[in-house]
Amino acid sequence: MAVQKTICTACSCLCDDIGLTLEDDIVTRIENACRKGASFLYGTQFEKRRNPYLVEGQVVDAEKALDRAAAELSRAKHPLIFGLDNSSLEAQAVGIELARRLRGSVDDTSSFCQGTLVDLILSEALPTCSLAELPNSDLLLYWGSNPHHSHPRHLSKFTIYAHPEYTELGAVRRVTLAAVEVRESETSVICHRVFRILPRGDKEFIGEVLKGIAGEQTNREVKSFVELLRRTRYCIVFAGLGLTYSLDNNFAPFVELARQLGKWGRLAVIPMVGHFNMRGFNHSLRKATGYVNKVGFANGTSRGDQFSLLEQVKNRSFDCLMVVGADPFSSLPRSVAVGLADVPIIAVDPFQTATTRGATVVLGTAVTGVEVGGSAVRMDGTEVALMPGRKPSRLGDEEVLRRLLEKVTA
Amino acid sequence: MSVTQDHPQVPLVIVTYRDVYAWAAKLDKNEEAMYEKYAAIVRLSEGELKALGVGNGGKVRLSNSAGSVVVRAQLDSKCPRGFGFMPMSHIPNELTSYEAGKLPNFKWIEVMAQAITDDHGGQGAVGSAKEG
Repeated sequence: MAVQKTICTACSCLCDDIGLTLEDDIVTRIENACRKGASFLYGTQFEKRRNPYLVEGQVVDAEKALDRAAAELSRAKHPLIFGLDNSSLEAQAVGIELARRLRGSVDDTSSFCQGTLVDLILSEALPTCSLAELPNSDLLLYWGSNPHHSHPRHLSKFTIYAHPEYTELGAVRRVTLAAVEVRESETSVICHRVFRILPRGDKEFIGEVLKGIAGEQTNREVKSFVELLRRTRYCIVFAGLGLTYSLDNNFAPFVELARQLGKWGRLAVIPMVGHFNMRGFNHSLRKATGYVNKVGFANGTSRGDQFSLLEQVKNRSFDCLMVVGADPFSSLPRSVAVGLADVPIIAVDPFQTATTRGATVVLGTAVTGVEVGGSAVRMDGTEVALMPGRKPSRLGDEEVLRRLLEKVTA
Repeated sequence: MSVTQDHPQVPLVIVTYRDVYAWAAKLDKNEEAMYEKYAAIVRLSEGELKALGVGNGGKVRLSNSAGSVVVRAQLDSKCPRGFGFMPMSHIPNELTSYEAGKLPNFKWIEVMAQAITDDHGGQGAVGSAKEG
């Protein structure tokens, strides 16, 4: 039995050193994957978790399901395509083209996740770097993120334990691991320096740090943070959802902090993106439209909150929803998700979820990265070619979207 | 009504976080039944447990205008007073809400917490929020 190399698509680390041993196309052994990656890779082969092609709960063939999905999309006056964060760049491009053809709108999880941060990075309002530049850094700062749970191999494959200067010995530490965190997490307990703040305390903390940088009086904790940064040559900030939600997507104070700290040494920001190709979606949509999310095509191309899934569900401003590789029934506030009840939903997903269980049409697809290939963008912006290890038993989402594009009438 | 009258109501702010074990349990064939165990918890300080009158592992009902869930209290000695930490899942999503122009309040959910006893049948089932 040969060990096949593959890239794990359980999160946006896109670990490229995963070994898969297959017997009759069944995964019998996985090497190097984390708890998250191993569950995901094994989970792909449990047929009871996978989706067939369904129309109103009845199993049908692919063609019938595609025809019904195309009919629902063509009939809709305001169709919304949501998701695509677990699809390849190639599938994303087709999905965006489908939204354009339908004169509908397109949005993804990044509109209530890391989209604003990625946008600031892509527009160069915030400096960034690739993970390959890590050996040059001397401060690794996790801010509002706990990679132990969100990206379990981040510390070992990419940051502190992978740093060439990391050692547990010696009196002089050449690379420092630090965190700004609201609770004691598995990551914060191994950090050399931890700056504890209260939930929603990030803006106040940044304000105090800016005062400290300006030489004004501030508290001991903040002084110590300022001193650490003053002595730092190259700091990489791994910005998590804790920071995003605390600032309620208003990154102006953080941008100013990065600007000020950039005067002392190099500073780069990498977003701790969740879904494996959410950053890729931001890149794809920006390439196609100039915007990273929340785009409408009814009158040319425009962007605004009115095109976000949340706003559209709240205002019931769409009449057909196609969800690709996402589960808004579970991930949205319940009080908002109830608004999905009376709308035709087309779910394109390899796995059964609360959303596929409530969908009018289900298009069970192959798992991107495991059963079909393509490319994706890692959290640091590096484009990666996926290496599927298993044979697909279903169409991939790129093929499904392409077939829909051929079938729909705008 | 499953809540005993002698347990006080305590205001809390719930902050959600990612939990790899809950995430993996959803996909892992052998751990599916463990999902609620990993997801239906709230981490509280010792002071908060005392204020609620509940021990480590006891049941707590969290309620607000959006909904209500029952979870198990878990002692987190470093948790700040007034806050509770919960793994992100469909369970806290029963309590979350969204205001136009803002992010959903996944990391700032205001609730009233109250300990509940075990002798109230289905109404006190842990993780009583239902997916989908």
